[in-house]
Amino acid sequence: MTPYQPSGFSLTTRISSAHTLELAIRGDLDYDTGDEFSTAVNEALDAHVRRHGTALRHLHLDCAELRAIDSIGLSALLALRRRTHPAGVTLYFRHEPVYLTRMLEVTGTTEYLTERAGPAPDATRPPEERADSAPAS
Amino acid sequence: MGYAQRVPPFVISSSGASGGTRGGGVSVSAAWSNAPYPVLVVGGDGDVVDANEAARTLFPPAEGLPPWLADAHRRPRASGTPEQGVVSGTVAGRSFEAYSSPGEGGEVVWWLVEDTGHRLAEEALRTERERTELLEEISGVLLSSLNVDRCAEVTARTAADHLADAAVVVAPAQGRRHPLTYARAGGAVTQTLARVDPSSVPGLAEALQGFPPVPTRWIDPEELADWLIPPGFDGPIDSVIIAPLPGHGIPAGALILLRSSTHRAFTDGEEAFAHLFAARAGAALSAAHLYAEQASITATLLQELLPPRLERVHGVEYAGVYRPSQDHEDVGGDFYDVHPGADASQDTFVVLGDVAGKGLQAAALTGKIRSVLQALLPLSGDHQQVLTLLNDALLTSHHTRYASLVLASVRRSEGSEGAEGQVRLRLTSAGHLPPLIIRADGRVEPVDTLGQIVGALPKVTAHSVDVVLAPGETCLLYTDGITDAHGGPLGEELYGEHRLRHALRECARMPAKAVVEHVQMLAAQWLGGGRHDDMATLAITNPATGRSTRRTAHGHDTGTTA
Repeated sequence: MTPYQPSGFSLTTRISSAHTLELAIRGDLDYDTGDEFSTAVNEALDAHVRRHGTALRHLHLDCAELRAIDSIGLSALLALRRRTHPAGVTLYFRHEPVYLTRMLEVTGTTEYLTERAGPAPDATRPPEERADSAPAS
Repeated sequence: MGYAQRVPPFVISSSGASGGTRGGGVSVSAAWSNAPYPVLVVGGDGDVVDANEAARTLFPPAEGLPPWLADAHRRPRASGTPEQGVVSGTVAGRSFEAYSSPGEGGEVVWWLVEDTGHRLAEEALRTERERTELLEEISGVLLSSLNVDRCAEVTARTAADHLADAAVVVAPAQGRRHPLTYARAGGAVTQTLARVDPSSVPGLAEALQGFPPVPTRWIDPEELADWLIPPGFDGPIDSVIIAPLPGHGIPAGALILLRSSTHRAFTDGEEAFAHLFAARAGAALSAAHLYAEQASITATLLQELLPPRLERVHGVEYAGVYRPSQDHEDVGGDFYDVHPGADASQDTFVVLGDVAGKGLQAAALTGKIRSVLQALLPLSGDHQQVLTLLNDALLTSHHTRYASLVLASVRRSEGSEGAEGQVRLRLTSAGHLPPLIIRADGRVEPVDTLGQIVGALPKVTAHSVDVVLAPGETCLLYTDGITDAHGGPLGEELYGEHRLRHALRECARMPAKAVVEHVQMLAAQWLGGGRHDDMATLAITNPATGRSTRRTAHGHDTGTTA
C-alpha cells in the first residue's frame, strides 16, 4: 500500500495578451513532472513568441492548485528564469503556497527568480538559444 | 467395385490351398508365397507349419519362432480365441508388427508387417523431444542466473550428464589465467583458475577468441592436453568435440566434450546438438560476464560515492546516517563529509548537502561537489569564498541542477584551567534547512544562517553564524528527506520541521550516534512503507564526557574554577 500517490500534473494558459502571460500549475511539480513542466512552459512561451514576437513582459505562474514542489521542481523554475529574464520577462508567483514561499526563502532564490527584468536586449535571437543562455558568473 | 470383387477369390484360394496341400512338402498357395510380407502358419504346438518366401528370406523357419512371437502365439491358444491384437518385436535386426488370423485345425496364420522406419522415426522424435526439453531446461536454469561461475557450473554439469561422459568449460582468460570448470557424468563439478596454453589444443584458441564464429570441431584424442582431462576421469578418451560458446559479440569461452572409449563415439546428430547447446550456454555465460563487468564497474565508481564512516575527531563526536531513496541502492543525492583538522588547534571542516534529483545521476554530482570541496580545504575557513568557488565550478549552461549545503567549521576549545571544554562552530547554510542545536537542557534552537544554493545562480551569498556547544549538546545537520517524509497516521502528512524539533528535545545529552539513529528511526516510522526522498543526518556533538559527569558529581570543584 502506498498512501502517497502523485497527482496528475498539468499546465494551462489562463491569460495571454501581448505583454502578459498567465499559466496555472496544477498538481505536483517534482522529480516525476519537472521535465513535463519545462516542455509545457517552453511550448507556451514559443507560442507566445510566434503570435506576439518579443512583446512579453510579465509571466505569472498561478500556484493555487500546486500540490507540492521538490528540488527538481525548483530546478525547473530556475531554468525557466534563465530563459525569461534575459528576454525581458519578469516572473511572478500568484497564490503562492506557504511551502513554496518557505522553499524559495531557504534556498535563497526568491529575489533571483522574481527579479525585475529590464527591456529585452536582443529580441532577434530564436527561443532555443535563449533557453540555453547561462548567466555569467 | 472391382476391388471388392477380387477379394473373395483371394480368400477362397488361400483357405482352399492351405486345406488341400497339407502334407510332407512345404507348399504354400500362390497368393501367400507371393505376398510382400512374411507370412507364417504356426501349429498349435508352436511349430512353424508353413512359411512363404518373404518369411524364409527373413529367417530360417527351422530355427523356430522368435521368442516374442512364440509368446504371442501361446497366449491366444490359452484363451481359446484367435488373437486379433497386434504384437511387435524384432527379427534379424528389423522391427515387425505381427497380425494373426485363425487358420484351420487350430493353426494360426501370422502376418508380419515391417515398421522399422516408423520405429526409427519415433525414436528420432523422442530424442528430439528430449533434446528440446534439455535445451529449455538449461536455458531456464542459465538465464535465471547472472553469476558467471554458476553458469559455467551448470553448463559443464548438464553437458557431462546429457551430452558426454565429461565436459570442460574453458572461459576467456582473466589476466593470464583461464577459469576452468570440469564436470564428470554423475560426478562433482570442480572449478579452478589455471595458467594454461589454449594453443596447445587444436581449435581451442580460435574458439576462445569467439569472433569470427568457428564451427564445432572434432579433435584427435591424442592431441588433447592433460589439463583438459577432468580430475578423477580415468580411462582412455575416444572422441572429443570442441564447441565455441558464442556470446553477444564477446567470447564466452569454449565447451569441450569428452567421451570415453567404453561408450560409443559422438554421432553427427550429437555434434549438431552440442552446437545448439553451446549457443544457449554461450548466450547465458556472456550475459553473466557482461553483468559481472557492469556490476564491478558500478561498484568501483560507487565506492567513491559512499558516505564515509564517521568517528570522534579532536574531542568532538561525529555521526552520520544516510538512507537513499532507492532502498536497493547505496548512493543518492545526499552526502556528507568530515575533514579532520591537521591537529586539535585546526578547524575540522564538515559538510552536509543535498543535490537536486535522486539516484545515480544525483550521486555523480555529489561526487563532483565532494571533490571540489576537498580541493578547497585550505580555504575552508572562509565559507563565503568556498561557496563562491564551488558555485563557479558547478555552474553550467546545460542544466540548473543545484545543491544545497551546510558548511561547518568545528574546533574544540579547552576552557582555561578546569573549565569545561566547549565546541565552537561556524555554520553556513547555502540554501539548506537550518541546522538545529539541541541544548543540554532539551531546548532545540534553529541556527539563523541563510544563504543561497550553489550551482544554479550566477552569484551566491551566505550569512554565517557562530555557535558554541556545551558538553552534552549537539548540532544536527539534516536533509529535507527527513522533514518532507510523507506519512503519519493519515498517510500523507509531512513530518515537518516542527515535529522534528519537538522530537529532538528528547535527544539532549545523547551521544551523536544515538541522535542520528533516533532521527532516522522517527522518519522511518513516520513513513511507514511509503516512498521517500534521500535522507541524511549528521550530528556534531560535544560529548557529555566522564569528566563533565564527574564534575557534576563533585559539585564543590565548580566553585574553585569560577
